[in-house]
Amino acid sequence: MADVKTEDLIVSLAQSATPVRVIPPARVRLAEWAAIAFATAAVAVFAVGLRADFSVVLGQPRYLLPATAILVTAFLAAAAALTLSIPGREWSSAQRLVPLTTGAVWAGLLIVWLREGGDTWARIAALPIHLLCVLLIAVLASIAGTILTKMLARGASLHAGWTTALAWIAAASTGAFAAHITCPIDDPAHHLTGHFAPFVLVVFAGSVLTWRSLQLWRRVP
Amino acid sequence: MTRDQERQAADLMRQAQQGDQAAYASLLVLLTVVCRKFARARLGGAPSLEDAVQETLITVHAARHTYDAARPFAPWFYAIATNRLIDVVRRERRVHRRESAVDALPEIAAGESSHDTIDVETIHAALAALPERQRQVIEGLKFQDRSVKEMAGVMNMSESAVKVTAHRGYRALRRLLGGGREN
Repeated sequence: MADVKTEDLIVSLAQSATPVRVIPPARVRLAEWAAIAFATAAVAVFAVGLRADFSVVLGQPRYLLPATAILVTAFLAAAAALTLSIPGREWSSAQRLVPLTTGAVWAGLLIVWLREGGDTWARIAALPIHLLCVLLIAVLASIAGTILTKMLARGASLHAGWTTALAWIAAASTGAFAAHITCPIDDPAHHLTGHFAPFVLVVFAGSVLTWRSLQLWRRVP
Repeated sequence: MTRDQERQAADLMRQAQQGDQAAYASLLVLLTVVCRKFARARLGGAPSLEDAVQETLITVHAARHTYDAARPFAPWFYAIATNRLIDVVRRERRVHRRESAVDALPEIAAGESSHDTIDVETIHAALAALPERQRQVIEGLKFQDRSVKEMAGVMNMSESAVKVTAHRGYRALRRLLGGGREN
């Protein structure tokens, strides 16, 4: 059985070359996704309503620090995913780790504040979860994640697993941010079980369900 | 890749993205030379070297819409080449482990000639183990005596896709049949 010779492969590939639509740079696609994702989140926040004392808590570090960590995670994760969708654009593998770090800062803050209040396990075991927070995170993450995954599928990711995970971290962070600014409960146990846990579940489920779609570009048409 | 080669590759890719097939062919020839050198430095004279080169070319083809002409060509290309090389090496290691752990494939009956033969049943068993598309292409080309053009029509694929699919199928068969001499 004769193998395809490299020279024949070159002829075949050249003959099948048609004009291509070059994808825009990562920063342009990031801006597009951020505009859509946060506009969607704004609609949801408008529908649910900001917490009544929003202007008061905004000046409090215990409110502002997690909010900042979540927002930064969303942007950095989306930027890293979009960068990874273009071969050779990643300047360092640290780019993938930074969003994980800011997400860990969010979780870390909650854990520290939870322990300060005592009765840690009892408060966690009480599962202070509210359906609205979970729904907000799940729905917004699904919308933002689907859009971002479709944008990434237009690229050519050589690391589909990482790209997908980062995309869903970005999407879930969008939902978590909306939940954070609408939820009137300050208890860290609620934030861990009702915000952070759904965030993790959405990242896992979204990644598992969609990572194959980021490998379809490898099929030769 | 030298600076001149990189500049040349970037120019050719820019033209290729606009549909210039001659420029694209020149680019692929240039990349083949660069890739062979790159792969040889890492794989030595391994039999999988040409596989790595061909896989890289196919990936360059599939990903050419992501190259930004305003940016250097080398990082884009070498990211692809490195990734494909790693895949080929991993695949070879998996096959080697699997073939070492499994009992010998059905023995090849020595024919009356001095050449070893592979019996039809073994070939069909190996074919059945292939992914559906690869099996269909190989059966069409080799058992039904169809041309590449005919297979492209039957399977609703481009001719280049038929050739690439056949190439992958032959490679998989070669591994399954243990590299025995093919008739």
